[in-house]
Amino acid sequence: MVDHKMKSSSNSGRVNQVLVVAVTVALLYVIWLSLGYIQNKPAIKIGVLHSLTGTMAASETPLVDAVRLAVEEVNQSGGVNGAQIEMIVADCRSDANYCALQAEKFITQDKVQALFGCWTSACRKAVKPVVEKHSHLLFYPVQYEGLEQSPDIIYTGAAPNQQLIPMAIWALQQRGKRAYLIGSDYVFPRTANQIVKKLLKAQDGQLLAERYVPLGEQNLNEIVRDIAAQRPDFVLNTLNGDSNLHFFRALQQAGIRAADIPVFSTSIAEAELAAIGAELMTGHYAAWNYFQSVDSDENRAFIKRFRSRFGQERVLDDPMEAAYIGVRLWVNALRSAGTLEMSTVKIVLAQQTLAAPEGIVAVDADTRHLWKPVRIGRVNADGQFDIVWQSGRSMAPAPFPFFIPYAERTSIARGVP
Amino acid sequence: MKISTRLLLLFMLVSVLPLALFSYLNLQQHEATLRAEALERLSGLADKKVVQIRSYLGEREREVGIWARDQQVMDSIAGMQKAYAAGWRNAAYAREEAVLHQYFERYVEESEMFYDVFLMTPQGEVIYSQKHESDFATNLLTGTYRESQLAWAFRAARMTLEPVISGYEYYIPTQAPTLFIVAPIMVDGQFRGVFAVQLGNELLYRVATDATGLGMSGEAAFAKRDGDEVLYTMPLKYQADAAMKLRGGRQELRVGQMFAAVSGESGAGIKTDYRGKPVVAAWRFLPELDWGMVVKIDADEVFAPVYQQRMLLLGALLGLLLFAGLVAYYFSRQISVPLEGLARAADEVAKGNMDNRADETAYGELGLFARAFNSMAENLQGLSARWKSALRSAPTN
Repeated sequence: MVDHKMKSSSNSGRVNQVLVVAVTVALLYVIWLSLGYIQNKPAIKIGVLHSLTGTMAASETPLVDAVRLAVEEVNQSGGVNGAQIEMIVADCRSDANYCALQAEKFITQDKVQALFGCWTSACRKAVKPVVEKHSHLLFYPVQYEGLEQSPDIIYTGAAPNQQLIPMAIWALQQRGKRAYLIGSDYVFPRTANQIVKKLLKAQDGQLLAERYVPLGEQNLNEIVRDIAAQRPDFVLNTLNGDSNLHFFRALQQAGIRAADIPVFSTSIAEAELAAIGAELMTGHYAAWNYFQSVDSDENRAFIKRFRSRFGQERVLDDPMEAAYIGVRLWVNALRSAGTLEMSTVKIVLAQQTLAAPEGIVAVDADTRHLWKPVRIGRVNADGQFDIVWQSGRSMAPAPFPFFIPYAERTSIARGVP
Repeated sequence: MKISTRLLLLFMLVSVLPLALFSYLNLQQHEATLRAEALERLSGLADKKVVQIRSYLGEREREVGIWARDQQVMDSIAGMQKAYAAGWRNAAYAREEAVLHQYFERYVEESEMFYDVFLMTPQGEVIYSQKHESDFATNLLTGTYRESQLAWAFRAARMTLEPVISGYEYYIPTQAPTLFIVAPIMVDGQFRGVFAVQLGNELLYRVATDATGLGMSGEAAFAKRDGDEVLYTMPLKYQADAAMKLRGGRQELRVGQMFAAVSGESGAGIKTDYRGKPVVAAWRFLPELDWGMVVKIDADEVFAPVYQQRMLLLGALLGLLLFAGLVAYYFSRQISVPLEGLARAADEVAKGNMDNRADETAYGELGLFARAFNSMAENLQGLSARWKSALRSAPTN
C-alpha cells in the first residue's frame, strides 16, 4: 500500500518535469520566432556632399545640420522599414571637381543609397555626370538657373520661375525699369543673367551693366562706384559666398541706401544675413520659397525642433529647409516603395508630396523639380525677412522658361556667349 | 466531477479548442492579408488616378501654351489691343473679333473641353472673350473680378511668364464653379498679353469621378481647403449635389483623411468617409488643383470574403461542437452506465443481496471488470452459502 503511493507520487513528479520542459521549449520557440521577425537590418547609408571649408563653407555647413536633423528624426521614428539611416559627410572644400571625386567614392566604395549635396551650380554640374553614370540619386537643395533636368537628380530648390523670374519682375514692377546686374563669375550667375536679360527685354526693362567678379573676390569698390554713378532703379545680385559681405560693406561706405537703390539677391538667406550682419542689409530684398519668418504651424514646429537640437541662437533658411525636405521626401518614398531598388524608388519618389515648413511641396514627375510656394522678402533690422509678396499656393517648377523660345533656351544651356 | 462531464471537457479541450484557436488565427491572418492587399490596391488606384488627372490637366496646359504661341493669337493680340483701346464697339474691333471667334469656335462650341477663351493685355484688361459674359471688358487687376481665380492666374502668369492653372472656385460671370488655364503671349521676345481658357466642367467631372476598378461601392472624392474647413469640389457618389456645398471641419472624423490630403500628405488606411461609414481609403494631394483626393471602397465590400469565411467557420465550429458533444456523451455513457451498474451491484452485494449481478455486456475492460466482479460475487455467494450451512450443521449445544 505504502509502496504504491510512493510510486504514484514519483510518477506525477516526472509528469510535472516533462511539462516544465515542454513549456520552456515552447516559450523559447516563440521568442526565437519573434526575434527572427524583428531582426535588426543593416543601416542604410547616405552620402552628404557639402563644403565645410573654403569660400562656400559659411553657406553650406548649416545644410549638413539640416540633413542631420532629418536623419535623426527618421531614425527616432523607427527608421526606414526597420533599418536605420547612417549619414556619411564629405567636405567638398568649395571645389567642384573634388566634390565629384567624393561622389564617386560614396557610390562605389561606401555603397550609399542616395547623395544629398552641392550648393553651386559648378558643383552640381561636376557631380551630375558621376550620378548619371551610376544611375544613382542626388538631392540638390539650392535654387539655381534651370535649363537642366536629370532622371537621377531631385531638385528641391527653386527653378528660375520660382525665384529669379518673379523677383526680377517684381523689382521691375515696383522699382523701375533700369537694372544693374552683378554676379560671381561662374555658371549660375552667368546663366541666370542670360534669363534676366531676356526678361528685361520682355518687360521693356533696361540693362545698365552686367558685371562679374571671381568667386571669393573681396574688392568690389570699383563696381560700387559704378553703381553710385549710374544710379539704377535696382541691382540684381547673383554674387555667391564671401563677396556678398564685401559688396554690401562697400555699398554702405559709398553711402548707397536700400531705399534709393535696393539690391535684390538670389543667394542671400538668413544664414548669410547672420554672417554679413543685418545692419548692412536692412531694406534690401531676396526671393526664396522658405523664410524663417513663414507663419505656419509646420514651420514653427520645424524651427523649434532644429533649435532644440542645434542651439537656440541658430537661424534657418531656404537651402537648409530644402535639404531637410529632400531627406523627408526620400524617406517617404522608401517607406511606401518598401524596397531600396533604385528604379522603383525613383518612380515612387516622383509621386511624393509633403506638408513642408515652406508649405505644400510636390515632386513634379516630368522635371523632378518641386512645386513650391514663391515669396519675396525684405530684410528687417532683426536679421529676418518681412514677406512683401507671395504666390499664395505652390507653383509648378519650370526649369525651362516658357517665355524664352526653345532655340534660345538651348543656346543659353549649351554655353554662355 | 462526473466522468461524463470530465470526458466532455476533455473532448472540447483536445478537439474543439485547438480547432477554434487555429481557425481564429487563420481568419486573423486572412483579414490582415486582405487588408494589406486592399490598401495596396487602393494606393495603386490613387496613384493612377493622380496620373490620370495630372495628364488631363497637363495636356490642357500644353494646349494653352501652344495657343499662346499660335500665330493667329500673336497676330490678334496687337490688332485687338489697338481696336479695343479705341472703345470696343467699333468696326475694327468687330472685324478682329469675328476672325478669332471663328478660329476658336470648334474648340468652344463643338467640344466640351473648353467653356470660354480669353485674351488679356499685360495690364489685365480682358479684351476678348468668346462668350462675352460679364467678365469681358473688365480689368483683372482693378475691376469687379480682381479677386476671381482668373485674376489670380493672370497675376501668377504675369509674375512668372509661365502657363498657370488657377484654383477651382465659383465664378460669378458663369454662375458655376470653374477652372482657368492661362499662358503669357510673347511676341518677338516681348510680353504682349495673356491667353486664357475656361475649362468645361463636364469632362473634368468625368475624368475625376471615373470609378473604374473601384468595385461596387468605390469612388474618388475631391476637396480643397477653404479656411479651416475642407470643401468638396466634385459630385459624390452618395451625395450628388456635394460639389462646392459639402464641407467639413478639421476636427471631424469623417473628413480626417481629406484634411491630411489637402495638407499635402499621402497615405492609406481604414478610415471613416464623409457618410460616416468605414472605408478602405488612399489619399493624395494634387498640386495642379491644390486639391486633396480620397479614393475609397466601403470596408463592407472589401472584407465581404472575411465576413463570409467568419460565418462559415462559426457554423462549422458550432456543428463540430454539437458533434463532439454527442460523441463525448455517447462514450461517457459507455463508461459511466456500466460503472454505475457495477457500483449498484457492489452496493447490493455489500447489503447482503448476494444474488445481485452486474451487467456483463459492457465493452473492453469494463466488461472484464463486470465479469470479474460477478465471479467475485459468485464466489462470495458460494463462500457465504458454505459458511451458512456450516453454521447450521454445527452442533448447537
